[in-house]
Amino acid sequence: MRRLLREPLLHFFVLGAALFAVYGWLNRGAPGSPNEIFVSRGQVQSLQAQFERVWQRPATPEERQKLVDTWVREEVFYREGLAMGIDRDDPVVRRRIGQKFEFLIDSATPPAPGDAELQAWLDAHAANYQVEPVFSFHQVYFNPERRGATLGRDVDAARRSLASGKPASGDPTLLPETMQAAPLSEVQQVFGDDFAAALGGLPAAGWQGPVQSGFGLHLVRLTESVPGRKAALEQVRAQVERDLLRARAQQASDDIYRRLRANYRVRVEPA
Amino acid sequence: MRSTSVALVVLSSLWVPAAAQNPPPGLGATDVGEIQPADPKKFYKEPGYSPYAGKHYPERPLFGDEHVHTGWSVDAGLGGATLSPEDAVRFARGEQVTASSGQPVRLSRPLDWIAVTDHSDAMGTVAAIREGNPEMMKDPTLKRWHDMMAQGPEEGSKATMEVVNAQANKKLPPALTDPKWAKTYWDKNIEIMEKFNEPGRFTAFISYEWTSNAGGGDNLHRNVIYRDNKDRAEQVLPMTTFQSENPEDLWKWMADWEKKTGGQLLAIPHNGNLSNGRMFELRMFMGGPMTKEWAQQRQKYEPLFEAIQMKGQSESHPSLSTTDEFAVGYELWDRGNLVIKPKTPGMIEHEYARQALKEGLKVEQQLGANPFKFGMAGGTDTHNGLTAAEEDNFYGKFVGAEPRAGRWDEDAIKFGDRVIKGWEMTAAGYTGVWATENTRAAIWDAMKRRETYATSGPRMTVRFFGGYDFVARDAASRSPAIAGYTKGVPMGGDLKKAPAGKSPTFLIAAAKDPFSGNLDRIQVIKGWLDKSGKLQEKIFNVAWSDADRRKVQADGKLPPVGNTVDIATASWTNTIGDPELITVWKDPEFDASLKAVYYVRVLEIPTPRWTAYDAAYFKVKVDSKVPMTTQERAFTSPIWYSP
Repeated sequence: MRRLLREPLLHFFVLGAALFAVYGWLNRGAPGSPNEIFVSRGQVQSLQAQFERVWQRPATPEERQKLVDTWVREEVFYREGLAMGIDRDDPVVRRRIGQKFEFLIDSATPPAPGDAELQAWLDAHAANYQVEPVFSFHQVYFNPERRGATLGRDVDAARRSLASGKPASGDPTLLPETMQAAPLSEVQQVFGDDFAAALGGLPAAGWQGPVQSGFGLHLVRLTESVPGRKAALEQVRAQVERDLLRARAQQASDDIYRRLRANYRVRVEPA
Repeated sequence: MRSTSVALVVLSSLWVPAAAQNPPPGLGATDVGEIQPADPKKFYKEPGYSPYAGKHYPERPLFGDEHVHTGWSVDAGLGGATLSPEDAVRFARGEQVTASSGQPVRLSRPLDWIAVTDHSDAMGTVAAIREGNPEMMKDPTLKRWHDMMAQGPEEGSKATMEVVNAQANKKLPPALTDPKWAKTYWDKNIEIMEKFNEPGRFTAFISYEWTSNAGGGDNLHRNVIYRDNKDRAEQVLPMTTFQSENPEDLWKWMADWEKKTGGQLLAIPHNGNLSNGRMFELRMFMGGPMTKEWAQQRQKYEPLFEAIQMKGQSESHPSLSTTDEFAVGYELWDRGNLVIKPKTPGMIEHEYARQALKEGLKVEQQLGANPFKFGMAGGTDTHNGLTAAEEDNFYGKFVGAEPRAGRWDEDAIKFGDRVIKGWEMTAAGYTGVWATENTRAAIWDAMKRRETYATSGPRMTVRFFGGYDFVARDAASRSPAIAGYTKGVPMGGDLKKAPAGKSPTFLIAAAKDPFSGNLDRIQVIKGWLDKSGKLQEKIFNVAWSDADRRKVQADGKLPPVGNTVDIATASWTNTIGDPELITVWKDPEFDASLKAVYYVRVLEIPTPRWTAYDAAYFKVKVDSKVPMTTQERAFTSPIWYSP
């Protein structure tokens, strides 16, 4: 398969396919017989424009000639290839053409739905747009590997100390001592699922715990805990718009497929 | 250490050594001004009540994949990939998607960023109807279509049908077929990334892969990552290998781009292991001798190297690092190049990151510039749009390798009788980036200053600082990063000439991925150029778990951590290993006159490899030669000592 990918002939197909639609349109009504290759002014301009967009300068006259020569060479092989029908059993060419056709369909989707449409979508899919719970907290970490048998005792002593307003000894850690207004997913990323789940059940008053995580035990002082809730449109507008547009593109694609499919009679030969 | 005494630690370390005052070289003037690494002097200007006020250093590594292909890449599409760049980004953000094979899939948790890198070679053009530009709108038919499209899905579909029919009947308005309105895949790709890029929350880079297969299969691929947004990216089309297969031409193209747009680019090469000796060859692409300018260009445009991905690792090879027990049999794809053309002796010396980092010291000695001064990145190189690098959630490299009972035993890559089997695929990797915030610019800047590390998939946190004044107490602080940035340079940086009588000290810390295995050990890998001009390397075990029962032996080796993996059920327990490791390490063999390079490798305890999850889930018996456990790992960008 990968050898096929390196086949120079294949590269010509791919290039050919890439230019196919444009080429086809360009040569609509062009003068000459089927054996004439007409390189229109527009085609030359297009080649030059592509050159410029890569190399960031105009092509020199020699380069321009080379672009045209290369294009003509590709065109000859492309036409010969088409005449032989070797595009038809080629999955790369088929996929590419199909993909470009879908782009065309996609481009028919209106880009900017209005507020009412967005709000309707949000209401209909509210579960997808929950605002995450948010937490602010301080934590003191106890490493079971370091504490060994004294872990439970140390944690108790630290909790008593903290409760009376005195500092307490934790262990060195890369975990943050504090997170401010951190969404649940960020707490999960840093401390793991268990710890994050436990936070939701803690009262926001004084030092609590110990809370267990994959790292060890933590005493936690929760200072802010905002439960998850349904999002207002303003909070998730971009996301809602993306999802709505995507659904519409999919719908448009299915719709057009259905209409086009109706033009065909499909027979599958029995095995 | 008391939890409330962080401020004291900070106050006691306001003195900043010379090494930390200068940004690393290679970050000099650019067309858009100086790129500044996070400046330690800014971290704590004033002592204050709050230990948290004024923290501007990177606090959390941001994880992402800098190497993702979708159905828009021709080889991926040929392989059956139907997912688009939009699907790939949605997946990386944590959404559930339907894989090309029809299976629902979701990441264990979202990534922080992604770079979708479809091959630039196949970015053709498509006609743009919707844009409604005034010149096109002079044509009444186009105007009508445009208006229909603006009305909603129903009318839009009708308009599209009209377009299709007009094309079939050769009645398309001429204005539509004018090539100057044609849109490229590149433009569409940019639009998608703009739509999903959310500064502060999720970064979607504009990026592509330049896929040079020199000589028909020597892998010299580079991922080109844009710091900038649409306005700059859309000005120029990506470089393709139809224009040139020579990396030096890519750098030229990048330089021209930066000059024209005022933006910035970097390139990440990958799969040295499949380059048949060409990734780090000691000559220019066309065969000429290396020049200083060449070395400077490479260093400038290629600050990172992708050291691990689904097609194996390119960090170290057991034939080059003969004392490294963790390089033996670890995700090696070392039989040939991308088309499995067999290697000949002498090739492997120029394929692996560790060897190249060492060679760079020697080349720098000769030329006055180090072409191989790169940091570490990890990516997947997935070709199904799914950046699924987790062992228990591995979706393979191609659609054909998405979860299925037989995938382990099928041919992943085949050329004649030369085959790489499915089980050889590596479920890896990601890049951890120490960026100050989650934006294109901040992540890109951290990449540029090499403040990154590669992982084989898990998201462990790894800190690595070098300086001359780290002491054991720095490792006992509850916020080691404060000491790290205040007294030294982070990964990717440089140590200036050692003060008389001083040896480099390193503050090194790692915390496990809360979703993955405990940590086995931290190692420092040192490479240097000895007095006789020969390259040397040595691996130091500097911190390890279960220290009560494990001691470094006379030969410097540390006994294995053990193994709790139950292959039959693809499970393990964190009853061995430690959740975190931290230490201050001083180079015991330092010679102040010799160039050296140091980087860190962190190893997890053994956990099930994806092949074990497959065997357990599909209830298949796999061949005894297939590895069923793995030791996941991270390798950091180096810190260089350049006297």
